[in-house]
Amino acid sequence: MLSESETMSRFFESWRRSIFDPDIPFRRKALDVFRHQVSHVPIYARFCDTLGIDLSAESDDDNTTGSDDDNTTGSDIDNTTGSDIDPTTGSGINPPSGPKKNPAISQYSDAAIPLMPIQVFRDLLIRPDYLTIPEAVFRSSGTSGSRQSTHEIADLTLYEESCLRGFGRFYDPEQFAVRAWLPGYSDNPNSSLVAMIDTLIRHDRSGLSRFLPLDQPMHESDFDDIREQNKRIMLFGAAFGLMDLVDSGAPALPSGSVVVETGGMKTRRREIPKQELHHRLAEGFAIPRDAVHSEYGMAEMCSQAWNNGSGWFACPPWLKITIRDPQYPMELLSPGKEGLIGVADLANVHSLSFILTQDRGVMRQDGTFQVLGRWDHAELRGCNFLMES
Amino acid sequence: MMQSDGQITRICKAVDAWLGNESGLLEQARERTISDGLFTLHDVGHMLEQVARTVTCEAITAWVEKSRDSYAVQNSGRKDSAVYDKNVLCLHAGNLPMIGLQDIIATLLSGARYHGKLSARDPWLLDGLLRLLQKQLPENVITWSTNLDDFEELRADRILFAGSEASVEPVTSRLWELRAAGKAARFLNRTARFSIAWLSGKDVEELRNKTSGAESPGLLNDLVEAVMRYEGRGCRSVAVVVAPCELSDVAGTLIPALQDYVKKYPFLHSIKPEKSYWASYLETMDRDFFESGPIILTGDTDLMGKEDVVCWISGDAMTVQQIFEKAGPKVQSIYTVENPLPLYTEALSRAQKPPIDWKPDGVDVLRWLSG
Repeated sequence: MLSESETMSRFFESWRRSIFDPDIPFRRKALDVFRHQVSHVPIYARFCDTLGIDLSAESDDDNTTGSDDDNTTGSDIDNTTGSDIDPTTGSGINPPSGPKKNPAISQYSDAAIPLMPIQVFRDLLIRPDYLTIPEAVFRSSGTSGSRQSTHEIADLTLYEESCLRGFGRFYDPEQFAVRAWLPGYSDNPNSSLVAMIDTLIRHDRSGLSRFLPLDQPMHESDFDDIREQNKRIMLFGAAFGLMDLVDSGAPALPSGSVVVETGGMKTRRREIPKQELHHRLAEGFAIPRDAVHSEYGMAEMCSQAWNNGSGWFACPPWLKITIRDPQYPMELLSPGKEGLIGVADLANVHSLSFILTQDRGVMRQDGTFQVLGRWDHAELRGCNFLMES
Repeated sequence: MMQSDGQITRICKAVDAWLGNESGLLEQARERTISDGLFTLHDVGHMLEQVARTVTCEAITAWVEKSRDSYAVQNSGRKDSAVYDKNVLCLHAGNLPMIGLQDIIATLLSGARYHGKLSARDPWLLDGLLRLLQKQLPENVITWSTNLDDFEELRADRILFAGSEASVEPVTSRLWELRAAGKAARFLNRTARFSIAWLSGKDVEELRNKTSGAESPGLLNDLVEAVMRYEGRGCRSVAVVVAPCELSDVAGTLIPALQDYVKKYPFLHSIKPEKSYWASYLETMDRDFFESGPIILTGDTDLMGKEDVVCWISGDAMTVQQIFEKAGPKVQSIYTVENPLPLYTEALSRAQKPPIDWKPDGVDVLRWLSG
């Protein structure tokens, strides 16, 4: 008989195995996470119910007809992959039974899974029914007097694995040493940005990575140790902090360096277009324009998307971004159209994975996307000249 | 700086000819607009009624005089910077409320040459009027098209357009690319999205005692019209109501009145049968809200300004001021019934019946063009 903590530990481990398993297609994992959250996150179940999603029906042909490339057919959920232990029963996930009313959600594509407005993290504590004490708590910065979002992290190992594996898909960690310049964020002990960078720093085997002191100006000599070890510099910073550095005379970074801006332009100064921001950062740090990269993440997410120089963000395989019709967020917009950014972050399995953000985005055919600032709710009101031609 | 009475007379002649369906232009445009599903018959009819009521020689003359006086005060001692020889490019949005018509008339009154990019989503109505204006003022009404590329190398001196703040950068970039805007061109971009209504305790009392329908003139009908006209999408449409009571206190009369309106004048854009995503969210979060056809009324300020959502906020004049400051350039107008506020306000009954000289984003376009 397993103890409660052993059961929980195995449960977390099984989800980690499943989420990062490259052999399980995203759709199958997403449906698995969806069903798990409907069962264990009451507010999400309620939202799906009010939307009219038939949560009681499960397709009889689950496990038999699924094709992950065909979004119209049923999923072949395998309860032995990842989600095989339910801590509330100790005996695996039991799909709820009941009469069929509409096609089960498992018959849809993963994009049909409802996304819940991100404000829910601000207004309620999202906690699955099996969680007593989270291992970490992330809080948004709560700028402009707004209330903070709270995101409880049930399994810190899963969070860290998501950060490291995600980072590793876009960069070779052995090549880089991280330096982070994060004024403002150090005031927030629950910052997810600090947690992500701290994870990268702690797992740098060279020991060269660290946070830069905020009470001293930055000098070229701050990077001497990295140069001596023939490593490349990866300088992280929120947009406003990096711009402050540039304005006060940033040091020229050595060849091969990369600057990663993590958003946050609007917090302290006038917002400037992304292109201009990256141009000014490239000039300020004396690096090529394509050496200015960005990271897209937030307190409500356990995973990050990366723009490693192309100007477009790409996701690790357990994170999927979609662009949603702001008026009907259940509907996807086609590539090239601007809308609300929708997130399916499977590493959020123990909170809420399916989130409608308030960010404005546009996607290319290949699934890469750009973040174009905040979506203005009032966009569809008033006169609006459109670039039709 | 501005043109003579003869100019005004010719503009009015063209408008009268248009409203009189000369050459069948108005009727054709109206039919195409409705058959293409661009706007509803009742909204087009309302707009034409307002044009007939507001675009008169008297009203235009008064506008010119007011703008001229204001211009003279602002520029006393400065050399007059006439715009007679200037090119003005108007980028018209696809919405019916009359910014487009006002921009055309202001451009012609300023003496400049008009060039218009018509919206592909609303190409018919202005086209007919422009044909008739060109007959009257061939030297001023130069070109119009639904294709922005047709204005390549125009190098316009003034650009008028209405759009969201997010659209400003791509629109201006495209204009520079095409050299449709001259190097020293000045831009007037109107970004207002919605309007606010402020009701007093007395108004609320009146609302409570009304019943909906034709037998219910006055405040209730004015409020319903301000919210629902043009499917609630115009910048003069009310998206926020501030009143010293909760929504539930007046829901008994307001909701049925809104429902009656939708029943009588179904919205074109509400074709989705499924339950509203946002209504589902509000229900999930146990927020107070009411649905009136496609419109959601709620006290949840998170959704302030969102299309198809009217926020009812319990508060006083200070609340209005705070919302106005927070929403900034998104607010077009603040309407009241008869209550003084330390802000510029308009009568609620005029929300969808603006005079020809109303100020989108608080800017008198005629004065701006002439400056």
